[in-house]
Amino acid sequence: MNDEFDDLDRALFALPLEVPPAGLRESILRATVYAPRAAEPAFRQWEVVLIGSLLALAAWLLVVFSGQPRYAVELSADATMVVRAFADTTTLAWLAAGGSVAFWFTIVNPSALRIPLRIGRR
Amino acid sequence: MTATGASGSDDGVLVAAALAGRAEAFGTLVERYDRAVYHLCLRTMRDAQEAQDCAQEAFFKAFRSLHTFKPQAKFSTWIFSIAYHACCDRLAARKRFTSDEMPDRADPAAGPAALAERNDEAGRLRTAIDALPEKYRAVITLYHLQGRQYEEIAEVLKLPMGTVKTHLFRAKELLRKTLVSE
Repeated sequence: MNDEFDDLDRALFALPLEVPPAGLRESILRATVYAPRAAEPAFRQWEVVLIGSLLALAAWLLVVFSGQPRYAVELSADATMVVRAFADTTTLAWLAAGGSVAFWFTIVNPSALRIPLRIGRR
Repeated sequence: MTATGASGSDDGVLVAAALAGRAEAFGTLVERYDRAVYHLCLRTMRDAQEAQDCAQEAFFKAFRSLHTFKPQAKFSTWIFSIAYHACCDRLAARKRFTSDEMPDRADPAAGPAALAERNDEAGRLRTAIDALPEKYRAVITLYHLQGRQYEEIAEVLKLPMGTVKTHLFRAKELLRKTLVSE
């Protein structure tokens, strides 16, 4: 196949590449290498929401406890009760049972979680 | 004459440097390939302005997706593939808007500059390449750019090797016929 096109091949390989218009390289470089980079925000949106919520909660707790010291005692007692409840083996057993039932439910009946998708056609 | 011969080996190093934050390394790749990419776009689009837009778009896309470049691949093949598909997208859009095959360009022999080009041997060859159907034009342009590396031509065009060889054979036959008949 190559032999019969030898002359054509020679002509093709001798053909100089087209000269790009002046300014093409500069415009490519401006769009890539020298493109001003958009400053990345210090925090993502969800981080801003989380930080704001935590600060609001902290401010609210500060206001509540600084005005009414007995709330601190009550809250501490409630927290102790919750910790004790979660340390109880019966509670943990019930949580484990609930979790495993939920897990098996997703395996046995996965269609319950499936979102119907519709693929558009042209 | 190929665009990719001597410099191909250290393109990977430049890509790695660009990925490491030295953006000027990408500038070296632009300097190395902008002419070849523009050549491919011009042959595919047959319009200088659109070729310029496609070449720019190809480098922009390559810069944005440089992290997807596989180190064992050839940068030339990769950038040619991006450029060629950018051209195909534009050609497809053009066809959609006109709802028909685009008409061929006006007779290039119309102006004195075109006449002068026709007399020149390289100009005759260029004109003959431009007159080829799109699929043959692409394969002959890549054959010119990539040398005889059929695998890479096939990779750029996303065609089987056998199809590339067939297209190339037919393109050469058509070119020869055109050149002989002139």
